[in-house]
Amino acid sequence: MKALEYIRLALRDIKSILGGSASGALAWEYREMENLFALLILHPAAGIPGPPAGLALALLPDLERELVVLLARARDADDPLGDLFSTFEVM
Amino acid sequence: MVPPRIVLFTGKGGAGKTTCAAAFALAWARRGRPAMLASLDPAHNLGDVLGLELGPEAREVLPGLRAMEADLDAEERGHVNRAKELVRRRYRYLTVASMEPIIELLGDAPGQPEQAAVEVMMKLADGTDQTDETLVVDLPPSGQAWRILAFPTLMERWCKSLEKLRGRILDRRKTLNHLLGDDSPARAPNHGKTTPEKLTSVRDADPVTGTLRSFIRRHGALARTLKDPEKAWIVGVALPDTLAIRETRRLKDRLGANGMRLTALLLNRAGPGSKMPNDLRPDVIFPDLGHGPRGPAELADWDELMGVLIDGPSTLKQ
Repeated sequence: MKALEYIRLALRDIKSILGGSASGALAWEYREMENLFALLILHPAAGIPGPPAGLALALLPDLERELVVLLARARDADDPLGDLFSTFEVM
Repeated sequence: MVPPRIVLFTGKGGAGKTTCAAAFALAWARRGRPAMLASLDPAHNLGDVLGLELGPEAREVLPGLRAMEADLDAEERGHVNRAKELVRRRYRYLTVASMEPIIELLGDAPGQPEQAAVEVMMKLADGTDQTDETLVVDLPPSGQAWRILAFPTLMERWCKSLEKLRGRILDRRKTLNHLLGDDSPARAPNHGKTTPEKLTSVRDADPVTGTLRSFIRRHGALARTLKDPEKAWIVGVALPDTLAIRETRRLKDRLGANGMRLTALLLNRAGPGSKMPNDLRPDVIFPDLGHGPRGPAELADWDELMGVLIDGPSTLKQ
């Protein structure tokens, strides 16, 4: 019985680790997509090709979160590998 | 023939676009068909041609014909001020301060004059649909006109791509909310609240998706109208000289590349020996009078010749 209990606990921990890692990766992907969306909308300021600027004026009032993500990504831009490694728990 | 919803006039600068648009609208109205004549050229002279003071509010020229000159600068400023006001209301105080210069920059970005012209055209088209008027538009010279005419397709394409990306963001937001519950990172910025607001993952409730869908619907509808030669007549006004002919051909090619067609061609200021190439056969030829007609009475002299165009452009009769 004790052995079965150990196996059950081990499986629970494995599920928790894998689940945590998967949700971390998903959160990273989610943030990157929000960052990309904000970059595309603010392309005249970022210097990349994008949709007509009038669309940005219409969307900006509803894009505060995406802009916060964009600014955070710009702030952390000098350490992209650190960000990536911490997300995937490489080190 | 079913009357078109929109008739647009363009051509090389100084070819007589405004005079032709005004003469057409007057001839159209004199035949009992109501029309709204609008100038979308930032360098307006529609009022000068009609001999009337015109502004952004439409005024009656004669029974069945209204005319206006759009204020495109005010339209552009309106978008900037609306964005500033909404950002001020919805964003955190500190973010607002850094956003205002960006909004100003966006207001001066390339493409804004075209968007302002298209916005005015969409509003006018919505209005003329209600009143059963045909919208007659005096466009800027062809270099800017084809950008305006291509703009709704461009905007629709961009908005469709962004709507797809937004959909993928919302799908991930939904999964994160489901997996992590209150620990989900998909939350609005903290405006001093202990628990920041949870963001929706439902497409119909997402305001960004709503705005994109509204742009797709409105620009898509105008793009489809402009690509349908039965609904939108795009009329080129040419002069019998090499440069004007070349510019008209470029306009025709550019429209074709964007799925539109130069529906009709008017040759203005033609002399006895004036010739046009085979690929640019004019529907109507206006003789060189030495001066352009001014005011409704003088423009009435072009009534009969305009009747040829009103009966239907040759490209639609083939």
